[in-house]
Amino acid sequence: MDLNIAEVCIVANLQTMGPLYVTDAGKGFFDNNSGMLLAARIIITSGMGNQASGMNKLHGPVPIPELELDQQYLCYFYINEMTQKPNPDTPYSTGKGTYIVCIVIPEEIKNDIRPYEKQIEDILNLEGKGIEFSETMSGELTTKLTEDISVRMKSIFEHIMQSFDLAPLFEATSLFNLGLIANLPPHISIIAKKLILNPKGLPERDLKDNKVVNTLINADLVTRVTKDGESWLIPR
Amino acid sequence: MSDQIGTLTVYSTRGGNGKTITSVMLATAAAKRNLKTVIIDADLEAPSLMHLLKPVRDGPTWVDFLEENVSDIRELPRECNIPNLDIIYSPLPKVGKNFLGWKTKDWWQQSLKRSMIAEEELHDIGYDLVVIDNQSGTSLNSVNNMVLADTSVMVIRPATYGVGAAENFIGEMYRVLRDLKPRQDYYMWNQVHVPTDDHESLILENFLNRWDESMKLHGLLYGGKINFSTKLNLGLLGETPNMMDFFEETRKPIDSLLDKLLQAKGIETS
Ligand SMILES: Nc1ncnc2c1ncn2[C@@H]1O[C@H](COP(=O)(O)OP(=O)(O)O)[C@@H](O)[C@H]1O
Ligand SMILES: [Mg+2]
Repeated sequence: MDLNIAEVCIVANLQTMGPLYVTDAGKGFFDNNSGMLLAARIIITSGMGNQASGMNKLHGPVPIPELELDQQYLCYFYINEMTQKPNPDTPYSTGKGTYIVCIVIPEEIKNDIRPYEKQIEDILNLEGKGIEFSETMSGELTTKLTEDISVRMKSIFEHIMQSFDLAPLFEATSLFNLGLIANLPPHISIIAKKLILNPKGLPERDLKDNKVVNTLINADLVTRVTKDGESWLIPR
Repeated sequence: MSDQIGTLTVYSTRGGNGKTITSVMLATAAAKRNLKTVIIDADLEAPSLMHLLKPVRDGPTWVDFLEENVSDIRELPRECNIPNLDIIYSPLPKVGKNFLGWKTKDWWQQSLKRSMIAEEELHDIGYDLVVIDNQSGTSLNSVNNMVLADTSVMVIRPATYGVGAAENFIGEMYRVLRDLKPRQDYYMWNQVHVPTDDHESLILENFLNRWDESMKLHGLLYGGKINFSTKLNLGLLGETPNMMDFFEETRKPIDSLLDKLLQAKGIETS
């Protein structure tokens, strides 16, 4: 098993309902997360797709064997039951089935996404914590839970993709940065361009896309001020 | 007259191609057509207007504005001996202090913002045409000035190494600029030697054709051709050159370039 391939994983410890652990692949096995992994009933991993193996395989970031994926993926949700062999030397092993849920990051964008690991980790932590696992305490993986997890995973995946697109924004200090403008996704750059072509600012109602505007404000690239009772946006 | 023509920058990939001469001649031609014109000496590495169009009085400079020592744009333009033409000067860089080197990327980004506001305000206070004598190369300063302008003229000299070096990067730069806002980018040959026989004619023609094709591929429009002028070349060696003396030397190509620029804006002058 090649531990270098998968980059990010979340481990949900169902027995304690404790924190989610995000770690990268190289660490998953032998550091102090591994106890948690062995104790876990559901492991949520987000890993990089590995097409280099010729088969669509996700190499486990956790002590799990390679998962074989049965289709080409863009966003892939895999729920599988596997049996964790009891390990008499550790206090953690349960010997019960462990469920594995994966988000697979496609091979093609693997390298692009690497520099933004930190942001992805944050999203995984934030989103992953919202997952309600109480049902699994019985040991049953119900259809409903499977569906819930799948919906959650989709949303995490979308967040990752969006954050990936937005990463340059959060690294920038000003909108007056051509390199930045040239590399933004089109729905954002169209607003960003409008703003920099109006260096003194624009009334907020001239910009239709609230979501993008808020992202720009969060990224500290636009300031919102009130002029004559009207909300204006000023590029930084 | 008060037709807003916009903002034009004269650019080149390396120094000595003729940006300053082209800027001054173009601005003079516009002023002669009763267009209220201002030239900004924005070549902070090698400002020339302090020498070529000597200021008639003291005052704050473009650098003072960028450095936020001056905030009112109206303090910057200074008149010169050509009617309808004002100048915003830049000071000679201080010895031992590399102005451009110690400015951070953040500073240049804020400088773009300030310059864009200034550009807007210069039109607001009545200038029909703003001409920016740009710095050459790929510095943040030169690219900023390209962003300010809605029209650019790249001055190139016929020398393989000169244009060849340009080609690698102009495609990308102009693509990014055009994506930002509608604009027109021209190129203009300068210092073209007049051939003395058929053989020389052929060499020159082949050369120019090859590069004309390549410039077109990058979306640049043909701006014309200024021949090498010994009068202009030697005339500029003096301590106090009178720019008006050289106007006739470049008049035809400059007037025709100005016609093109004005036509593109749908403005008629005579
Ligand atoms: N058409 C021309 N004919 C002869 N000499 C020229 C011509 N254009 C420019 N020069 C010479 O080239 C020098 C550099 O021109 P300048 O306009 O200062 O270039 P830049 O601003 O691009 O550095 C000038 O001193 C002038 O002598
Ligand atoms: Mg110059």
